[in-house]
Amino acid sequence: MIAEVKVGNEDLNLCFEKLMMVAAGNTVCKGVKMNGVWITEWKDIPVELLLRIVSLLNDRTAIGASGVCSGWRDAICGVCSGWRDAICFGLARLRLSCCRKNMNSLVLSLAPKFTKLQTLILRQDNPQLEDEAVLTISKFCHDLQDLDLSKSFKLSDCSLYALAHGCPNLKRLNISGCTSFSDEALAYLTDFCRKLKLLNLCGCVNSATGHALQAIGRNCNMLQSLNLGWYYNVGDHGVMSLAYGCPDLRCLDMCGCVCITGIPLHMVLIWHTIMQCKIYRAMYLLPERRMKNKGSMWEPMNDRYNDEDGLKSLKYKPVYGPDSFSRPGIMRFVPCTSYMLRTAFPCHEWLPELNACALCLCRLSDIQQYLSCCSLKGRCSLHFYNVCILLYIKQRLLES
Amino acid sequence: MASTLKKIILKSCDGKILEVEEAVAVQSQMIKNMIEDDCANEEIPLPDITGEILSMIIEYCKMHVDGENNSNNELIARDADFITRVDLNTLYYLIVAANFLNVKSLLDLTCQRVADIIKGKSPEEIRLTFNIKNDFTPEEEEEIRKKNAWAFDYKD
Repeated sequence: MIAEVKVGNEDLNLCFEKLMMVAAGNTVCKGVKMNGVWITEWKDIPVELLLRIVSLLNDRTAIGASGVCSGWRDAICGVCSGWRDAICFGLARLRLSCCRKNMNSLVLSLAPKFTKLQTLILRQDNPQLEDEAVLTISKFCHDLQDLDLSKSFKLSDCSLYALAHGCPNLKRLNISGCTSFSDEALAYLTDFCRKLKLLNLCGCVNSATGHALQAIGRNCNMLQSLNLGWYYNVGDHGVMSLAYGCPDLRCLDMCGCVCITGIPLHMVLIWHTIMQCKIYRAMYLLPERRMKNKGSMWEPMNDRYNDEDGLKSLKYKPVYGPDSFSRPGIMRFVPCTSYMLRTAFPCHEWLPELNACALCLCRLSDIQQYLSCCSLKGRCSLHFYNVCILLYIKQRLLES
Repeated sequence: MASTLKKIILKSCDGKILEVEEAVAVQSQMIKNMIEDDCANEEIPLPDITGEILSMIIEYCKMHVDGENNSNNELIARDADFITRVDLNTLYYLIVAANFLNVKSLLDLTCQRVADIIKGKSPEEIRLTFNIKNDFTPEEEEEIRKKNAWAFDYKD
């Protein structure tokens, strides 16, 4: 039970008086009206909280709020002044995410004028953007390098076809949450936009096929970061294509993919290897027969990948993104501590292999802590088999 | 399974000590993380939260834990009742504390409350309500006026 506290009006008053004293005592507050009700904290509200509040307002009130004081102005305008950005950055950068109602018409009218645009951020909270707008963008903004269309539910494949022809210089494309794009269209886009370095496909469930991934692996050889969140249907060959076709890949986010049961062991392994530059280590776990037929679907880009040992020469730089393990409550996967392990793999129903290969990348002391903690809380009893694998891996690691 | 009756001890910045059931305390994601990381066995000091604010937050969390079986509407009504009893200054500290403790539902509730208060008000009215000093120079004000006019230009 809580120490019983009832907050009635009296308590509130009392509470407020205390607050005033605390505030005054700490000299946090610069202007207290002792007989009035106000202290000056509101102007110093942390930016993140102010933005959270402003995001709940409509456009008009949000702009009004930016005119309240300089602190609020700087916070609000920093985020939602597409107009100001457009001027400050020589019309090369435009962010319209703040528009909650008129984004589509705004894009239609702005795109023809801002033909030098390089960055266009059109992230939406409620879907507004329609194909027509993207057609206009691809018709006029041929220099576009960075395009964020996340959460544009209304867009269809037409948009991707148009972008493929109109914006071949795209380096960063975020179409997360655009559920209606098909794998065909995505594959088509990658065929034209071969300079892509960052591709965010999180939640594009309809394009989530091996076909799309193979196209990415075939075409986007400069890819550095790829988000495949919630690609349930991705098969092994798709992920293998990435491993072979995108030698620069540093960050691969497959949150949501791991939740399905029966996920192929070597897919997980390759995922880990790309994430953590441990490809040669994870190889130990790979059943040999699976490795034997890896080449049938996919023709390697480069001869050096032909031999099995070639894999070992891949040099992946480990980059741990904040969403690498996007399960709630996990902030970062750096370093892989026992706490991280428990949060990322709390559930003993997960594939034993998954646990094992996650563990093989951690320090021995962290693994021990994880194990003891799991058994203490009684919520996870690692199978004996797991522990064997674990020890085997550790041994091999120590040898190498 | 961990005992559900485990108590978590919280200490506010003014030295008030509150004992909270674990089920209530884990409404705070921060405390939940601490518990999972085995850091919550001793009292948890909360340097920026006063006893009164902490009590209110715990009251809120408890309300949500107790009301788990109630209908959604009932919970919303209780939330509304809770938040309308809070004056603007307390609200400020509640937001900051809810953010610190990471109590998402309370953070949403308090932010929505502030947004509701701001809604439909002119900058001047907002300043009056929240007692914010107008620190713009006349030139800056002019610029803002211009910008706002421009921003609304494109309205259909």
